[in-house]
Amino acid sequence: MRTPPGISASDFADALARFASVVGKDWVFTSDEDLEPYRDAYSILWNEPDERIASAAVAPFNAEEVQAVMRIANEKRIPVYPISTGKNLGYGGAAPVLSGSVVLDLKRMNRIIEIDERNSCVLVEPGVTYFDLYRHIQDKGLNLWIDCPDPGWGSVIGNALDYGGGYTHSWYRNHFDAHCGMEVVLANGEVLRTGMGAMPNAKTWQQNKYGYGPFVDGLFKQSSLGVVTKMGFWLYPAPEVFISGVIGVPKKSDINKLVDIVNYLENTVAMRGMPVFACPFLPMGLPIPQPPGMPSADASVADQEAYAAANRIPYWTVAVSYYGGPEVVKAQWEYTKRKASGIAGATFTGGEVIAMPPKPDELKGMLSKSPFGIPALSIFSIGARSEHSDPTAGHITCSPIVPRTGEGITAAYELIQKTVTRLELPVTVLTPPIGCWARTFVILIMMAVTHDPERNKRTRTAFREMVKILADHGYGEYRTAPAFQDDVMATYSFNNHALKRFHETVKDAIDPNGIISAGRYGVWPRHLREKKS
Amino acid sequence: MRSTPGIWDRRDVIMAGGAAVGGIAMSQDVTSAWAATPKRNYLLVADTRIAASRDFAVEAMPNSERVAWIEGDITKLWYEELDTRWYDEKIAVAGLTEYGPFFCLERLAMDRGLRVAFKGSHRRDGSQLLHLIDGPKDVVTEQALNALSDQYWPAQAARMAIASRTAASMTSRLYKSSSAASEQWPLLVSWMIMPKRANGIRA
Repeated sequence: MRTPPGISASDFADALARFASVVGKDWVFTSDEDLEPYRDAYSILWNEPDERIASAAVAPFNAEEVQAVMRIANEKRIPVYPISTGKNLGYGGAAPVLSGSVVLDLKRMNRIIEIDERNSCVLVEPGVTYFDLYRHIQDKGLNLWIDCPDPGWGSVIGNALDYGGGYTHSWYRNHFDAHCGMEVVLANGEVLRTGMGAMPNAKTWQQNKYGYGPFVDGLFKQSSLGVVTKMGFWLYPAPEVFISGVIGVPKKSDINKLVDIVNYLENTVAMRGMPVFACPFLPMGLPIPQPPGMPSADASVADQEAYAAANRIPYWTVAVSYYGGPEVVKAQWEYTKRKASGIAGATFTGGEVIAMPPKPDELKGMLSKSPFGIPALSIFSIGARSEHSDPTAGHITCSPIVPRTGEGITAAYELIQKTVTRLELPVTVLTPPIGCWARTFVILIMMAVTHDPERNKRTRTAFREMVKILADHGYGEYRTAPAFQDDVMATYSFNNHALKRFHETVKDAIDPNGIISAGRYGVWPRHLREKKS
Repeated sequence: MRSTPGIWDRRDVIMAGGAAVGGIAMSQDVTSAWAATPKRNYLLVADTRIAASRDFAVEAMPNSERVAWIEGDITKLWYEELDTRWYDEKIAVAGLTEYGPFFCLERLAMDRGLRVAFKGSHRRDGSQLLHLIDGPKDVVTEQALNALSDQYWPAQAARMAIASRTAASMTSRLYKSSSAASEQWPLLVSWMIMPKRANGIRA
């Protein structure tokens, strides 16, 4: 049996027996077969000595069992790694950052505790998936939408805590921002509630985020300070109609004005759907076959623009979308066209009003139903057909946050293209700038993982170099796979790593034995920092 | 062929797959395991677009509850059936699909106390197919693997997958087939997912 680092086999056996007395022996897993789900299916360290492997897994049924497990773990100094459903593939999955940790699997805690249609909010446990919440709303006939990522099989809480994003209205696309109130079990087993929930019998826990005093919820995002056992979310009151239109512009430099206009529309609440930018000449774009004769990303801008003009395709497009009442969204689309018509040669297509919820025939053929808050797994039917990578090995993603300006996009892609080429990174997908969060873009640079340790080693080396180069130019990662979490944290180095030192101070105070999620997002407990140094 | 995924009956399957797989000689060891296989308590998943998937379904259908047809995406199957059904009844599921649908079902199944009892990777390698089979040692035999060497390999994969339900120990074999890789799919997977434990005993 594998044991946690620094824990004797007999102490570990004793801890497991005590865990079993809390959760039941059927919910303590130690065999290789039972621990297989807790391997990271996309690990860049697959089958290598450094692959992050759990020593055991424990699946409590409720917050009280979580408290009991944490008290035992704290007493015995057993490292635990809480997961909700462990579906953040590419960012670690269900595997712990510290090998030998006991995965605290919260999937059995899948209760939707309270849902309030009038105030459009919900209180859930960590095991509730987007499918669960969607089903609950449908079954109850509630006039509410969820905002889900793609794929939608993960945990509502887990995705929010890992800073995930969605595709509907901008107030709900940032899943952490859309939360309201938490219940957290600390390392010593104590339970706390944040916001209004700190008041016994609070009547507004899911309506008011801030309560009284310092706002601490952010300490539990991408965190190792506690086990979130309940979390509230604001839901989207179902809109009456949806409009999507596409703005096209003919020149590369038009992106500067186009982004500014979209930002203005978003920030004045005239357009709240997710803007989707695209350009056929982006370097290493999505692996879609290009028409013969189309200039490559390396061709001159003049050649690219001439090709676009000759073939009557825009150089850049942005799909904009609107949710709400028909009178409102029609006016918003007209307003958008007026604002963008200042760009010479701008074209406008679409704008049909679709009543919500969409009818089955309207959904048919759509690869993603996420813009309508409908969870799906269809995205896996793309990757599996890729000729560019082995679908059985997965991918890792470099995810820099870049400015929401046309100039910012241009500079970022030039740097990325140059760096990827020089480092020979095995990029399979480089996305257009993604506007799921207000005020910034994120660009996803997806790289193939293989089952060849030597190739993976080269990729890791190049990935780390890429992270440093991006950081040198001011582009930070918003999350990353466990193999690179220390590297990314090292780039947030202002004032001699003041932020990291603050995290460590808080970690040592809240979790003095360092038992929760050691190393997660580059924050290590004192005893392991001393060991590393 | 029906244009939308849904539930088909046996007649539809045979029409879709043709009679090509009929009358194939079954290797003796797989035949024995096949005969011992519990009946009609697994669900088949098949992809309407993939001939090999349809052939697998034709072969495995006699002992199945029914066929759930997909077109590369298991969302409907998951949302409308397995997500709720696997809480109460851990019905086994088998099929031959692209890797994506298998991967989703494998991960979701593991969350609900099921396991992959058989997995055959059928990867295009030039003009041939490379079969990498993981399954019980009394099913994944040299004789059984030899029967993967011709155009009827999906039917043989079906027999091996279904026969894997009665065995416990896993082994692994590699076999390079002489089959012509006529389909456009670079990687297909045949598989059997079954309950990890039945009546308290590892199934």
